[in-house]
Amino acid sequence: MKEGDEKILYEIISKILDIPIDNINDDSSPDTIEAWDSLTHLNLIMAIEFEFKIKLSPEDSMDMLSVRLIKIILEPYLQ
Amino acid sequence: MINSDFSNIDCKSPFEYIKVSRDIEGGQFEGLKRLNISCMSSYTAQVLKPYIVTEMAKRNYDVSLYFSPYNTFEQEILDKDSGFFYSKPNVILIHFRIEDIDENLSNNFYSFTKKELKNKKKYILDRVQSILEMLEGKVSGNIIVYNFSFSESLSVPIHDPMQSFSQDRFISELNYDLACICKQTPSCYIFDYYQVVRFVGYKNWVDLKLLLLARIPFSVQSQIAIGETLSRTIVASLETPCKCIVLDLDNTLWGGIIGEDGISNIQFGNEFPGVAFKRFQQTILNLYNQGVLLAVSSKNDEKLVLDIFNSRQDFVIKLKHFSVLKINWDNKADNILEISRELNIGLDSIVFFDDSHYERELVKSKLPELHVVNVPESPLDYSLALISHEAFDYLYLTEEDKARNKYYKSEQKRFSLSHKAESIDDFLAKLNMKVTTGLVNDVTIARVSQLTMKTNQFNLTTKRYSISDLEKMVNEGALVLWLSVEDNFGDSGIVGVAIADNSEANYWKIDTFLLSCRVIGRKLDQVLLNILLEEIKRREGFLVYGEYIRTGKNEQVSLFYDDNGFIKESDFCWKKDLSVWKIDSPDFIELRGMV
Repeated sequence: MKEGDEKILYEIISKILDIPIDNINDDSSPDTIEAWDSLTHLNLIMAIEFEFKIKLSPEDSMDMLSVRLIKIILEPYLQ
Repeated sequence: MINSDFSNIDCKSPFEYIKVSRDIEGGQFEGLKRLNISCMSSYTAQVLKPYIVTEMAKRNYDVSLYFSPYNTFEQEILDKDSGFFYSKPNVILIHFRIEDIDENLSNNFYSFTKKELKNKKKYILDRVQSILEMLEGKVSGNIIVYNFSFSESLSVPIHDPMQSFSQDRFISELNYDLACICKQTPSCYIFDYYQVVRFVGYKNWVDLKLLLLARIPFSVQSQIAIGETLSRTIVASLETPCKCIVLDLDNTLWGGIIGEDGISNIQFGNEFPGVAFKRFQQTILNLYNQGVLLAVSSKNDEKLVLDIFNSRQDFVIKLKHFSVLKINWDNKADNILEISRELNIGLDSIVFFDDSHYERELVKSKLPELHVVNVPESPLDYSLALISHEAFDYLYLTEEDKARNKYYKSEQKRFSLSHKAESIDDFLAKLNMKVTTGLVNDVTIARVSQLTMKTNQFNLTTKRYSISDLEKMVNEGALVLWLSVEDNFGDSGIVGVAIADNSEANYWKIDTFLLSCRVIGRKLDQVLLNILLEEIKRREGFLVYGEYIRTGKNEQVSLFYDDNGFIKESDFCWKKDLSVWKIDSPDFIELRGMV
C-alpha cells in the first residue's frame, strides 16, 4: 500500500473508531479496539469507499476485520 | 481549536461528517443551543447520527441523540423507565418504513385486493395515531413524523399510472391521511421523507450492499440528504420564520441599472438573460403569497423606479406588492432600520437580498441580527439561493400568516392616518376599534400558542407554551384569555393573550401578558388587562400579582405594572388589590364582550 493511501486509511480509522493514529497498527481489530463494532465497521466501509472512490464487494466488506486485512483487501482496488 | 462559525461547516463525505460530528460532540464548537432528540424507527437508524449532529450544528444546535431499539415504539412509550423517557426529548422523531410494515406493499403490490389495501392503510394509520395518543401528556417536545415513500422502485416497471388503484396513489392517500392525523395532534409535524426520496431518486436511494448486508436502508447519498432536510425540518419546528425580505432593484429584480442603461434597456422577459430575473421575481411573488412582506432598499432615483414599475406591465412583482419603498441615496443599514420601525418587526425577522457584495458586507457589519443572503454571482442561481436560505421555512401556515400582507397594508394606512390625526387618542378614536375576547378553546389554541412562541417585545414574562402546555394549564384551572381586534382598516385577528392562575389559593398570579407588535400603542393592553382583572374578580379573586422578566427585547414593558396602578413589591413583582379597583377603560374602543 502506498504511503499516501496508508495515511488516508489511518486517518479514517482514527476518526471513525475515535483512537489516536499512533495506537493503530496492522494487528488492530475488533478484538483490540473497543469502538470497532458492527455499526462503526459499516462507517469504515462507507468512508473507505467514499474517500478512495471505490466500490467494495459485499464479501470484501465483511472480511475487513483487521487493519492488516483491510490493507490486503484494498490493494487490488487501488491498482 | 474552539470554533464559533457554524454555517461554514461543509461536509461532503461520510468521513468528513463523522469527523466533524466527533468535534462537535467533543465540545469544540461554542455557543450552540442544546437540544435532545429521540428517534424511534422501524429499522436501526444509528447510522444517521453523524449527519444529524453535523447538520444541526450548522443550524446552531448541539444535539444529543437517543435511538430507541428498532421497532419498539409502543414499548418505549409505555415503560416510564425507558431510555426514551430518560433521554428527555425536546424533539421526537417517528419513522415507519413502509417496507418494514409489509414488504409486499413495496415489491409485490399487485398481490393485494382493493379491500386488503384499504385494511392495510387503516392498520398503518391506526398504529401511528395510537402512538401519538400514547405520547400525549407524557412528553412536551415537538413530534416529527416521517411520511411514507417506497425506496427502490414501484412493483411494476411502467404500467402503474393506469391501474385503477395504483401503488403511487396508495402512498399519496396514505400521506394525505397521515397529515390529517398530525394536524390534529398538538406540536406534531411531518418530515417530508417522500420528497427527499424523490429528490435523490429511487436509483440512488438504496445501496443494496448496505441494505442486504447490514439492513441499512439508505445509501451514503441518502444519509446526507436525510441529515440536511430532516435538520431543516426540526429547526423549522422550533423557530419562527422571518417575516420580511428587503430587496435591491438594479441587477436584482432586473438586469442592468436603470439610471445608466435607461428603462428600455434593462434585462427582463422570456429570453436569456432577462428570463433569469423573471424567475427570481416569481420566487419573490411565491414568498409574498405565503405572507412574507416585501420591501425595497435601493440607491436610485425614485421617479425612475416608479416609471419602470408603471411601464413594465410584464413585471411579475408590481408596486402594490411592496409594503415599504426606500429609494434614496442614504446608506442601506439606515433604510433597513426605518423599514423595521415602520413595519414594527425586529431586525432578526428580516432577510436582505442585494447583488452588491459591498452593500451586503456594510449592512452585515452594522446590523448583525439581520439575515443576509449570500447572493451568487450569476442571476441564474438567485432563486435557488433564496429558496435554500431557510429563513422563511415554516411547517404549518396559519390563516393569520397567509393574510399578513393584508394586515400590514392596513397597518400602512393606519400609519398615514396617524400623521393626520392631532392627538393619539384622537387618532385611535378614528380607527373605530372593536375588541372581542374569549377563553381559549380548540379553535383559538393554536394561535394563542403561536403568540406565546413568537412575541418578544410586548411580553411581560416571555414564557413559551406549546398547545399541549396550554391544554394542561387550562385543565389545572388557569385562566387563558385571548383578545382580537378589528377596525376601519381590517381585522387583525387574535393579537393579545393573558394567562393567570390561582394555584396559590389566596391570590392570582399573571403568568403571561402579551400583545402582538402589530397592535402595540393602541391601548389594547389596557383593555386586555381590564378584562383579565374583571374575570379574576368574577372568579372571586381579590389579590393579583404581576411579574416582569427582562429579556433584552421587552424593555418597553418594564414599567407596565407601575403604569397600571399596581404596587411595586420588588424589582420584578407587583401587586394589586381588586377589592378597591375601579375600571378605567378607554372609551374609544368598543367591547364586544366575551365569546
